[in-house]
Amino acid sequence: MRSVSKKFYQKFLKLSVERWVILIILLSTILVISLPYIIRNSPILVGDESYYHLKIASLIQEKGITNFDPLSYGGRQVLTPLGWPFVLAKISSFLNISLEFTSKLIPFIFGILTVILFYYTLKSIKVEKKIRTISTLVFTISPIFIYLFSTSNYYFIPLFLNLLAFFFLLKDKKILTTILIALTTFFGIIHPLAGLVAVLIYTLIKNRKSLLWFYITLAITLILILLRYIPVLIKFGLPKLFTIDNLPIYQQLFSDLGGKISLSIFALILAFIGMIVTWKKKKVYVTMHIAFIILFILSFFYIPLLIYLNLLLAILVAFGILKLIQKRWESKFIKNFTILILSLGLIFSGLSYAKQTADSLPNKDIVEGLSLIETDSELKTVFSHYSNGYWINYLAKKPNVMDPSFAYAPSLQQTYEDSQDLFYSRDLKNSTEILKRYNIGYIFITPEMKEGKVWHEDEEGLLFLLEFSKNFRMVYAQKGVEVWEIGNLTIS
Amino acid sequence: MKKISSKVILVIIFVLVTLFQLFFALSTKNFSSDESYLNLRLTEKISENKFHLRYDNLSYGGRDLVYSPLFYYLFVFLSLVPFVFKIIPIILSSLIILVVYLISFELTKDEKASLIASLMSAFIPVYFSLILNNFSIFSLAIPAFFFMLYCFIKIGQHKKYLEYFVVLSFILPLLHPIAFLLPIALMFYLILTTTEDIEVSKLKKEVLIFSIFLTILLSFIIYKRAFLAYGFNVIWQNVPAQISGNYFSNINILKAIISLGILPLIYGIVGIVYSYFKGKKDSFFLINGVLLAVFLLLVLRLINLNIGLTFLGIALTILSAVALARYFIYLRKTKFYNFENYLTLIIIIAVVILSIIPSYLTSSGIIKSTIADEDLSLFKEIKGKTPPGSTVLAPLQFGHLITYQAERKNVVDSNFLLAPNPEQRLLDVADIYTTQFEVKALELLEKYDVDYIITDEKIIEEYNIEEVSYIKDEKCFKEILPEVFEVIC
Repeated sequence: MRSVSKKFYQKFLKLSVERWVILIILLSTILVISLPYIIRNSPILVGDESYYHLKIASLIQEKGITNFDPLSYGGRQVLTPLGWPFVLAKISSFLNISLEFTSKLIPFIFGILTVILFYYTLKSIKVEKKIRTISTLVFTISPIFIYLFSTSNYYFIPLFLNLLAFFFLLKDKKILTTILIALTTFFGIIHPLAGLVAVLIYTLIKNRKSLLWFYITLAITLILILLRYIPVLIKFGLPKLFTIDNLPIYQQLFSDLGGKISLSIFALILAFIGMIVTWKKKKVYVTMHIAFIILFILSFFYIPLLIYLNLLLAILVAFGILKLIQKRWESKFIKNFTILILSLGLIFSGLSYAKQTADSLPNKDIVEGLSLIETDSELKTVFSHYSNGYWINYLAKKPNVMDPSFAYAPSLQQTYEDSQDLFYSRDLKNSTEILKRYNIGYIFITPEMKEGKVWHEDEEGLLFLLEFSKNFRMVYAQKGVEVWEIGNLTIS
Repeated sequence: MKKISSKVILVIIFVLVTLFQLFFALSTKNFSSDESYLNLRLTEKISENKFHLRYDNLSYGGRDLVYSPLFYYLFVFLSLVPFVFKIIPIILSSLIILVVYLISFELTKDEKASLIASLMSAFIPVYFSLILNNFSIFSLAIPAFFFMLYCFIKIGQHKKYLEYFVVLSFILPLLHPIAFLLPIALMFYLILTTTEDIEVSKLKKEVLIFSIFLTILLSFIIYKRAFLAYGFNVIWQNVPAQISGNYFSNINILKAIISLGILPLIYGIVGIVYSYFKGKKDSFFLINGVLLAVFLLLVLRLINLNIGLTFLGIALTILSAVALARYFIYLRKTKFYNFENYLTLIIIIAVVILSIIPSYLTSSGIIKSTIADEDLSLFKEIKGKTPPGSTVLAPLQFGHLITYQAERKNVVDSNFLLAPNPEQRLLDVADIYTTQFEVKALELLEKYDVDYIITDEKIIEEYNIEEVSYIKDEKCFKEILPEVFEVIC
């Protein structure tokens, strides 16, 4: 009787410990996701991508699923994945809450669900408890996690779907896996491929008998991909490569160097240690090593792959940290300090990224400036730096000349050249022609544009014309944010 | 005759070197470099605001600042001492003598060789040019760096060295970005010992890992804004090409040898050869690691030539002790062992001729080229004659004088990290002084909101012009002080 109760107690204790661990993980997840909003202390959504999704979602709410965006580049086809804007529009309508709030709420919920799923997926593949706990914590404080679940973006739902698909595969619920992978096709081309590769690797290693099922899933997914993209390819061909003033690729990869979808340098160092540790058992971990290396290399060509790499990275980091903890050090003093430094490094990268996210534009002045343009009932185009394009569309509800959606943008090269011409020319005749050509009614200027993003000098190009020509009237100026209205265009 | 202990000799050397430097430094009220005035200003700002300056509204007309602040906080504490900014840096920089002695003795166990090495280290001409009569962070950072090396060598012998090393690992990155040299040197040390099959204790490897990670973490924290702005290019510190090019264009081999000191170079090279082929002690490879690290940074133009040569000079001096110790051992085995004292005297005379005299000449040169009283008083007068918040134009080397003495905005100064467009500004400043076209000059003066322009003799000489061609146009320029003009149109 006594031994039975002892066993029960031990089992209870074991369970409750795990529950505590999960609770701590959940609390830290909630804290991490909320952190940018806490630091920002403003209801304004961060970044530019969020506003693109808001625009498409509001279009869906108005007109149903649509292929035409009347505001981007003065009007163009919508060829970006509609998965997230569709979910955003429908949930917002269903719950009768604003699109802005839904944009924050859904990533938040998915963030919590993804963390739980990640933990239980690791548990299902029998990853040691310590490793899965550390991995989950590392995953939670990673810059990519903050990006995915604190902002409105393309990637968080497909990541969740793929993780869930993999989890169901581990539970031998293959039909659900097939459905989930198929669903990811609505969120971009890379996600179903990533899901299929993960499923294929698992099938080849653990369950070769399921290969037939894999082929069926592959066929379904490929059909869906082809149905979505073949018409685009036939009509528009392959998108032309067009890049402007991007950060160098090595800088884009690391959050500490200003990357957006990016890794922590400290995590990478620890992952390297983790790789060395697991190298000794390479038969068990060879797939992870190869996948990690391949994903890392591919990330140089397509940065969003880092969101999948981040999962493997978290596991390798956990191995690295555990090795440092378990290894017998000559000096316990140095050991503790080193572990502390590395942990602080991981936290520093996360915190610093959260701060960067919180500080991102738009701010109150930008929103106010663009809201002023919104009050104009005429549908005049607003000219600004292309990076402000999504804000112009959503906040001012006006067409832009350019925005960051370069793929399949109409007359992209010409539009870019005209924009440059307008920014830097002091020739009123030439500028007037361009303004007329694009039906530009407003010019929107941010402090960043005057501080090197576009101009370096006070009266450079368009700034000179704005100051000395009677054709332009400043209608808003607040902390460097300016809105200029264009009157009757005469060459004077 | 009672033999004088090496400790006494060491103290004598220390005192003499300190007096030697004081003799020169106290012969003028002013500092020899414009950068000293930046350091003075940053220290005084901490006294005023109780926190270090993060935004400078005078430099470049207003810009963000990122720097390691510990040195300035330290001097705020010390500021009660009279002549603190002159005397303390000299005392700190003279500590290198003790550190070199300690390392050399650890490497050779030969007091005589170590004392000669410490004497040589006190008179490395390039070290003098870096720290003499300057309120410079290097006066503390360089001895701290080499003391860390000493602690690293001694790790395992006593717990206190480990503790010193850990404490200094925190301090050095908070002093100066040169802290990055240590992890690079330790990496080279690890590579060298591995390739030479020399066992490095587990504890040292652990300390090495710790030090690398700590330096990276602290650098990311301190220089976060710079990393975000420049990425890994931050290591070039945003120094304009025309300036980084100058670091190396004015140097020739002979000049470099004289700057290093001929004796440290000769004996140092012998020391390197011995340490590679015969010595094979891990501590030898630590110093060689420093040499390689500095060499790498110099080749990549990541550090100023004078700073690089200083580190090379001190490392070579330490290795000189190895060569001298071998030389004395060899001598004792020959028939000349009776002449050891005479030969030692010859070496000391050689040190006097080849190190102390060049150092004396370098020091005299430095003091001669020190910012003159008239120059300083000109900036003080500018302060009295111009309204606060106005911008004063002068070339790069006067940048910190404008902000410190005149308390006015400058267009350009030598603090390039996070400075807005310094390369273009340097070109524009040169253009303003040299152009023949008043319209162009006025356009550029307007670009930087320049209110006053200094046209003194040194500036005229620097740009190799007879005068600023348009400055006599009274419609646009009004002389408010001799050689200082207000831009009025």
